[in-house]
Amino acid sequence: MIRPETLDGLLRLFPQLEHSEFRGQTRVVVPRELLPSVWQTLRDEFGFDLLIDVTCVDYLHYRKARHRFGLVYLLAATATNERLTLRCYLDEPDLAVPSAVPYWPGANWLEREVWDMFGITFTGHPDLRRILLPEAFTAHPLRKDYPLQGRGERHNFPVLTRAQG
Amino acid sequence: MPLEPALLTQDLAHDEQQDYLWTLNFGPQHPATHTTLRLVLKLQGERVVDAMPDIGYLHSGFEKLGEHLDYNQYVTVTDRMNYISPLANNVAWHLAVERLLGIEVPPRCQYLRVILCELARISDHLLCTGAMGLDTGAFTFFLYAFNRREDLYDIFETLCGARFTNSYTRVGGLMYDATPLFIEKVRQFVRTFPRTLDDMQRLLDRNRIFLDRTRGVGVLSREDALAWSCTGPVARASGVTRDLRKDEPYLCYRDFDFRICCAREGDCLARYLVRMSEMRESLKIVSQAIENLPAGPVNVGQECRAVLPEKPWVYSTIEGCIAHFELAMSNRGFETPCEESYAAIESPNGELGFYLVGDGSDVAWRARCRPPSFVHFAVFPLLIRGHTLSDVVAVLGSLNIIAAELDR
Amino acid sequence: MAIELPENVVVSRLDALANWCRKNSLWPMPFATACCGIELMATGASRHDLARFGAEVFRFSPRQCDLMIVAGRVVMKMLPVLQRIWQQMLEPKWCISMGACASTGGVFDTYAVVQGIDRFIPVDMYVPGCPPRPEQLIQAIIDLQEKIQQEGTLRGVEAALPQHQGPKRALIELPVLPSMPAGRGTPYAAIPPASVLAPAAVPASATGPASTTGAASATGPAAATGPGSSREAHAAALAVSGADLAGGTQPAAVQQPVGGGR
Ligand code: SF4
Repeated sequence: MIRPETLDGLLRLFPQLEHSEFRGQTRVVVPRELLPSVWQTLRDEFGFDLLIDVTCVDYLHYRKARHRFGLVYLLAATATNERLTLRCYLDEPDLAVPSAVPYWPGANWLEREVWDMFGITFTGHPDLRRILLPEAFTAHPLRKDYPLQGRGERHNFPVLTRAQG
Repeated sequence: MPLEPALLTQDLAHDEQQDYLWTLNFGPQHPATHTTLRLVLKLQGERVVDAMPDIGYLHSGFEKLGEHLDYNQYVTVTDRMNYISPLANNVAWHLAVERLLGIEVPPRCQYLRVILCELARISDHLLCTGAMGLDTGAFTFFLYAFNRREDLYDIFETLCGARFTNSYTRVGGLMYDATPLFIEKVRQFVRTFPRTLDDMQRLLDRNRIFLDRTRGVGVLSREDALAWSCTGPVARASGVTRDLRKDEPYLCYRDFDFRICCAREGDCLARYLVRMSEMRESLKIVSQAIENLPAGPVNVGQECRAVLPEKPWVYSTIEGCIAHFELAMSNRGFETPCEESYAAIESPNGELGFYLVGDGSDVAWRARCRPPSFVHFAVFPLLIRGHTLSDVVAVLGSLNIIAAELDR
Repeated sequence: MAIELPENVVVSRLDALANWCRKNSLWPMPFATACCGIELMATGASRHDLARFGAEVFRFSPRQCDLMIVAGRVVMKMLPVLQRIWQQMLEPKWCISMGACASTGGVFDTYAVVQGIDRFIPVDMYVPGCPPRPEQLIQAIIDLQEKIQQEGTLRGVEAALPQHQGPKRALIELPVLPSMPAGRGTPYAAIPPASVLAPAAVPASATGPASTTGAASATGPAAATGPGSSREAHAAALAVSGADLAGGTQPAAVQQPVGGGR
């Protein structure tokens, strides 16, 4: 779903990027430092004007995994109908990446969700707060070391009885 | 005439000295939000200076659950995601799974899935426009819309026994084939629905109150729509001519003759009109598909290990029984590649996609849903700034925010 | 010595009269959060028409309602809102828990979803189904009317009966903290796993002078009703909640080591 000339052009500008392909989808692994310049190039020169999604995968105990977290950026170009997936690997303890909000304002809430669910910080984000979970929540639930049923937060409320009501 | 949006800057909203601004808490339990979302509005008189959405009041851990249920089980959970059009979610989920596994479903299944997607689109738009009418004072319009939704529920019930938690798709096919009764009911719906649409449009399209409350309200420019990642009717009402059914035809959308409905204005009225005309186009697709429904199986054959075997075969032979157990037992299941893939459909609300990470087993390592409501609600503060408090419900209605999809 | 009554005069108990009035003019408060809310709307809409049973006056202000219909899952961010709205409703009031999620958590056995609202607010009727059909909801309302007719009293003294003083025993899931620790503002901090809780709680309830009686008196019935009470952690935590439910003795001594263990 990407034209060869786009990919070639990108790789000529950034020769250090690795790319792979699976079921017609092209993925490019971008080191953290290069992210802003790759975004800028993709948006301004290759017409990737739509940021579809920002998400993250926790690879703890994943088969063959070499890194703990993988950030995923799904990009699309509306004029040429191309799609491109950017991936950026992160390891603890340094879980900070530059924010994509200056390039696509739509990244705002998507990055907040990644922070909420995985605890990845985005430097330069205008408003990095929890979005789905309560502000006082202490964990990042989509990490693999967090149990499905939680650690009992869902039972920790006062009980109202008939007489109190 | 609608009031012109006042020229208010952001700095005003954040200036602590402006004590004539007052704060209104809207939601999370409020009839006009229809769902559970909360808005903190900064008002100057009746003008909204700033809006701060606060969401998560229905966050139920869908994505975490996706890492614990297998690819066939999780379809029940996708029903509950956008519960206005669950069949579209079912199709989106299994399309993503089949992309990961590299399965191509047979033509009859593709046609049935297209019919279901389009019926789901109609039911979604009926609810969205109906609720928008309700919020702007057109109660009759809402009753018309809801009445036809009951007919759609009837159709879905004929198909799979549930009114709207259908769970009808399976990996590599469908739960079972559609019955002649279903086809007959769809035909009848196709025959009678245009009249309802005409009635609805007569009620609202030239209604002075409705026009005044929606025209010029909540304008989203084309640039903003792209920058804020909008898709679907919201983007198309702002002049973004992007529709995955045409741009990246999935299933068998290539076979049908239909148009993409767009508008330039980007206001609430444009979003309403786009949805109304999309229903007509969907109806066109449904009528073409139901008349040209190919014969043949609805499931991929048994050479594909991931597909549940046919029920008669399971019940009558030992091989079928074994094949079924091989898939259904928790310590068996099928193989998936250790890879990642993304597949999306044009759901009624916009691009609904699933980013799947397979880990070799039949349970996803990560099942990320790209929720259109979530993305669209982020635009809300942009749209409402400078409008009056009563416009909040009109804008909310036109964006069609479904909380279960918003929060997952 | 029968007293002759004029025509059209009926003698009844005042309670029965009040119940009869109440049951036929239920004003529901639709606490619709998720998918079940759509079926709730369908119940009120033209085809199923809840008005036939005198309960169609949906009011969104809790102060005007006397029947709360919780339709949809309630998650931990929403639960305080639910409790607030329940408290805002005027007596006498009833609650219908509609759907699998509101009653038990349904398919969402996850970190965020409250596993049944009856753990935290009183519930009169449960409607099974995911979602329940409109007919089921209507049946629940009819049953609730029956219940109001039979159980209600004019002054609401039935609310003080012991069986209404807490959630049903079988529904207490473990680990349960005694109550929200006083002075800690957040209800969302993680609770230590049961393995941490149990050893700390057992010696405390055995030695703490304030809670000994409460725990001892509660252990009997708790062990009888609790599922799988053979497990030590289970019994210990039940004893803790039992002490809490026995009333009067706030188990401060039990709380102490738990807080320390955190
Ligand atoms: S019980 Fe089913 S239909 Fe009702 S809220 Fe839960 S998931 Fe939705």
